[in-house]
Amino acid sequence: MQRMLGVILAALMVLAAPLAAWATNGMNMIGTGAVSSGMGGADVAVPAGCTAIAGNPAQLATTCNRVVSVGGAFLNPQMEVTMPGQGGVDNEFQLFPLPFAGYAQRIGTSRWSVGVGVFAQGGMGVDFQNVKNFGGADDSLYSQVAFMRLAPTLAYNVTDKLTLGATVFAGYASIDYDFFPNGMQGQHVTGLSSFTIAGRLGANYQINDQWAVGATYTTESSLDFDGGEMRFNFGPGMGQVTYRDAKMDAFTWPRQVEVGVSFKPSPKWLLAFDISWVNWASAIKTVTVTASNPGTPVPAGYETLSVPFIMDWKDQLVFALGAQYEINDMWTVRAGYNYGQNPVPDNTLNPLFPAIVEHHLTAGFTFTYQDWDFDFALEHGFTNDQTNSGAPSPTNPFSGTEVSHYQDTMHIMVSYRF
Amino acid sequence: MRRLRAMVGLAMLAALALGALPAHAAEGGIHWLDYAGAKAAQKKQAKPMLVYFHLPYCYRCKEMKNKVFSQAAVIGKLNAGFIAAKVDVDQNPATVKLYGSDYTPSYVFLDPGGKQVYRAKGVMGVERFLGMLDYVESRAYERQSLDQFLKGR
Repeated sequence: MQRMLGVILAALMVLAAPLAAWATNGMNMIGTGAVSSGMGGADVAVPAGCTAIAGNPAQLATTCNRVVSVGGAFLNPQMEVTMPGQGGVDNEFQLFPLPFAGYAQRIGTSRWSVGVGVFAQGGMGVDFQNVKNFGGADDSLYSQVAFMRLAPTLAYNVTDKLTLGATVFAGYASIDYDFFPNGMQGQHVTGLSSFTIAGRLGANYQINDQWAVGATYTTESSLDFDGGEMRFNFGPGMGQVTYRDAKMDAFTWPRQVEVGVSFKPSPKWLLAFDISWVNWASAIKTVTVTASNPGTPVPAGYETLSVPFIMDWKDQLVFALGAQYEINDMWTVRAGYNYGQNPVPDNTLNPLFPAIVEHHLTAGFTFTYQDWDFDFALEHGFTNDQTNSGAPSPTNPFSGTEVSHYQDTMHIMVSYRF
Repeated sequence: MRRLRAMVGLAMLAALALGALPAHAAEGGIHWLDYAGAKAAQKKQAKPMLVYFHLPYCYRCKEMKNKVFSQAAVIGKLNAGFIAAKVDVDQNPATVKLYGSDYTPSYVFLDPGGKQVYRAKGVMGVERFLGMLDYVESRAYERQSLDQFLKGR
């Protein structure tokens, strides 16, 4: 059984790595797993099974025996970009699979629990075809940012009220993008990838049978993308030149602090509320793509290209509110609301990286049959519109561009306790 | 004056009644014994025994405590018809080994003669737990599964 689980996890990590995610607390998913997502992502002080690996690791200590969970989400973003003097262009149909797989167990009859999981932390992506470039020709804007994490987790019951947990996040991220590749100075970048290590500490304190509080701290994940390739369009004359070494600097996954509280007004009801602070201001500033080693001769001074994306994201506060009600032994229903301040400033809005959705409503249920849980949740991110208000300049080519975005996500998960 | 006497009388009767009740009932809960105590009690009383395996920090055990073991019907049924043993699996490795039950929460039932007759695990609701107690008490395990028994009720 353990050998099989190892094979499954390794396969999922490999299969999931190229998948893009579109997430909406900045680039983070609002929750991981159908239970957390069904409650709007309010999960810091809520007992969890395997999904504690991606949430509050201290909640892994509530693992009573052994549990394996497999599932994920399917995310369908709907976006429209309107550039000055042009009509709106909708993005192409996209359905992103975001997998999750995890295993957790108590170590013998001890106070320790251990688990490992692989999951989509977040990302973003757009696919606008037939949008006019700055020269007025049909062109495309495309981006795909994906971030997967493999997370071994350890949790400890200090007392029957206090639990602590720690997770090591081994992350793999990839980025591809097209920035008007048919136009002058257009770029087609593929294959940028990076491995990274980060960590999360978590605590949970059960004040009494009704109230619990929890907190987590996540370190920053420094990402050094390389191994990519850039095709740069010099326009008539030189045409397109492929640079065989491309890298991206200063793109970082942020540190984060979360606090949460849960309340059980009766044995059947559970209410939860989280506040998170996400330090995007330190993570996403000016992202620079550097390309070198051109495949064909280029004039002196063009051996290395440097393309800056001034983004200067703002720190983000996220508020998550969730409720759960157990109808009977087999059915539990949930609902939630999540608000995450838009971290993208008006004056640096870039339609390649528009993580702008703020309001989410969620609903879900769990069907329990003997040792099996079948979890399901739907999440709707409401439309948010934003216009680039910055003055036009070489580093702000999207001045006056408007982006509109909403999305729907379906979460499913199956868990087996043994 | 007559009313006062009546009230004092009633109060005395109530106090006597409370005093006559076993300590566990006065505490309002299940009369849990440790495993050795339960085995000793079973030798004196011809009752089936529930051996409940738990951990103090097991979330699902807390769920059973809050949702099931706190219910009057469960408390009454267990106290009246069963000997109830509570085994902390971390503190009682010998008992865990004896029954091969380190899963929490889990339940092992012994007949009045001390023979293991039924076992179950996991969180369950009040109805199913009470049904399981009826199932063991009526010896229905000799002829059908718990699910068949519950469907036929």
